[in-house]
Amino acid sequence: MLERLREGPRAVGELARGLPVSRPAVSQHLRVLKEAGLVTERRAGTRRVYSVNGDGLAELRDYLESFWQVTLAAYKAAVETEDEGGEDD
Amino acid sequence: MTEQATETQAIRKSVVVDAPQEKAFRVFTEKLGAWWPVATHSVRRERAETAVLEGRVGGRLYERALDGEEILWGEVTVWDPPHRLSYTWHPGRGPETGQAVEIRFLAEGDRTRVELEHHGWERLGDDAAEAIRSYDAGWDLVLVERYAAAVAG
Repeated sequence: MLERLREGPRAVGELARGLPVSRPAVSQHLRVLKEAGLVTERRAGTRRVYSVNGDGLAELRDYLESFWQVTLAAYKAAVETEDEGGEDD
Repeated sequence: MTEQATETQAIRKSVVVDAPQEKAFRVFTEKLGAWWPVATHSVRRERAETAVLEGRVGGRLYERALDGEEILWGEVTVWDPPHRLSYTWHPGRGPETGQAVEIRFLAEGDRTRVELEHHGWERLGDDAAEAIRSYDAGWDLVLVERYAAAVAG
């Protein structure tokens, strides 16, 4: 379903079409994806249109938080084991 | 640490290291290649050899791959040893996508608090997912796993 949403925003009916699952099942999946922050929902008239969490910013933030966390931990380990006597500059 | 995404978009991390300010700065910069986890935090990953930071304004921050190719990560914009260091940040991407990373080294007695701020990453906007892929080839797997966990839950 995510793959399909990556092609562009879709309403529930459009998503259900061609999938071997019922429309309520699609709605249920979308609700889960929305809670996981992977898709966003907006209303267009009476329809709800879903799209992949367009900018992916929440995921990118999570990723970068972890990126710098790991990097700084590696740095801390290095600086605290670095032997000052060994410097040659 | 709790996220406060609504308050500001800058990513902030800090660590206190058991080393004086000069040493903290020197290890961060001169010895970057000795500690930067290139195997996981680089463009080439397991085919990256080391990371290098050229200590001057305009100096390059790059990874050197095992095949000798140098892949630019950013350029130094502030070089103020042993207090402050800033560089642009666009590993694996063009400089037009450059973000800013600012690092401060604050003496706390014999120890040093190192504060890191990463600004402008949200500028990637719709390219965020692609940016993650360039950071981390495992991203799709993470997404799939998260999706699977969410669905199962």
